[in-house]
Amino acid sequence: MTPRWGAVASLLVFAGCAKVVKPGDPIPGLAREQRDRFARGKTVFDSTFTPETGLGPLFNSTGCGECHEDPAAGGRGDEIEVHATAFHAPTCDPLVEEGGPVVQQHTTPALKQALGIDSEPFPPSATARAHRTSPVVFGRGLLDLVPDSEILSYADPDDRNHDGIRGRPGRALDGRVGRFGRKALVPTLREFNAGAFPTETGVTDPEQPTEENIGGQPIPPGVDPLPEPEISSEALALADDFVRFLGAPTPAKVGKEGRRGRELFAQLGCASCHIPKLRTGYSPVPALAHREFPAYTDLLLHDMGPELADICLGVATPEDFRTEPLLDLRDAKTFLHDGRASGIEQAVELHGGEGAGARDRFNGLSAADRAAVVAFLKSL
Amino acid sequence: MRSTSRAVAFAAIVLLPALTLARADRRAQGAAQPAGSYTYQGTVRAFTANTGSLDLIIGVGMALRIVHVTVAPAAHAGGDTAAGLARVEFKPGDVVRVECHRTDTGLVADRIERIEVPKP
Repeated sequence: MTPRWGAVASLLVFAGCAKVVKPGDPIPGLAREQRDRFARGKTVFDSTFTPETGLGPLFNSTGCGECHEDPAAGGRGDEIEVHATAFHAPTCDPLVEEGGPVVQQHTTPALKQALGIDSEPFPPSATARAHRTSPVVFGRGLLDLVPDSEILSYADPDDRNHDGIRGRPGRALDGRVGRFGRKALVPTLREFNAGAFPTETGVTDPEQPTEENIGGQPIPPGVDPLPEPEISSEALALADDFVRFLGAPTPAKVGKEGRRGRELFAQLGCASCHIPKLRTGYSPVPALAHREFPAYTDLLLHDMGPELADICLGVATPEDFRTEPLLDLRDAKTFLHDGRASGIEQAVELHGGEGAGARDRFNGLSAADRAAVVAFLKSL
Repeated sequence: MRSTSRAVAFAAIVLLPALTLARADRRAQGAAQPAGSYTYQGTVRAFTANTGSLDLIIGVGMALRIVHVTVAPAAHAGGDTAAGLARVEFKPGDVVRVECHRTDTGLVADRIERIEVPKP
């Protein structure tokens, strides 16, 4: 075999080994034990809680899988959450003493009987209300492992390169770099998951063993009799592993139009924030370590203009949003953080603030070129 | 039937360990640090210097909670004595690390340190 044909053969073998990750698939290369935890974690993720197993007394959903289900476990949901905070520039009050930034939309029968409420009261001190869709959680284990240094390397709060993009990192309440949540408040996937159980289902866990108050009031006696925490460390760890091991879906192969769209995506400046590929750092799980993966985010906060502005959170102002990872766009039915856009073109057109330049360049394209960009995005 | 079986299986996986492990977890946590000693790092919601009342926002993910701490006379603030603490004037939005202990009247700070959050 000549060296040339050897190289071609190697390429074909490599291509054959590069497994296509479909939505809901685990990351390729997991060890048997990790695949087992993925499967067992999916059972926890898909389970339905009841008041007898810890649900409530306030909740948005009866389980993780109720809101992350389409097209597979870990995907999107059609539920819309309500969030609220108070912005008194330059500080943001997450209104914890009035029930916190997530205003749960359901109550258990016992709480309803005690207080006569069907949802958590909207915090009276709120200065803004926000709606939030349930995003896919595919690839979050990979995003978790992108080193802070890489995220910070994309930051340019003073716009020193004069491209109109002023990305800056979100910050957790204790000062660490944030990356999860639409306002980049949460620094690690583990914390996001451990916080999601009590916040979304009212199920306390060992890492957040205290129930949220009811719009600022204590839980009435007898309404939540199950002792805290309501799930075990192992159940939390299994659910966390399921989410952590969900792969980032492989973008579909694109034709000529999609390739043109991909070029335009970069030329328009979309890729300045929606950075196509990120790389993980060290992980004790080899399948997660030092991997390049499709991300389409810089995990930074950007001012998206007054039209999209809603609540503040952490260091994020009402106008700031973390760049949404463009994962599994092919299955999305609504777009943007609150689902207000019914199509990709509309979502682009709603970009303001730092996204206005790319939006205007998109709007200046021919119809064929706009269609090419959309075709590319639908391949993600 | 399928959902009932799933619920029963789920209860077996999740609930029973929760009930049995919760006490063990608390024992383990108790063994990790001196009894009644706590450390919190979070964002200042409110600080009243003359009463030494500090409200700190902490959280796990989006599950945020408030910790009320009284600043003890012996507490330190970033190396200064507590006498200087009243002059430090923590303001909402400051990130601080608080070491404290529990008393009959609540948490009392032994040491407070302001954390400088780097600007990008």
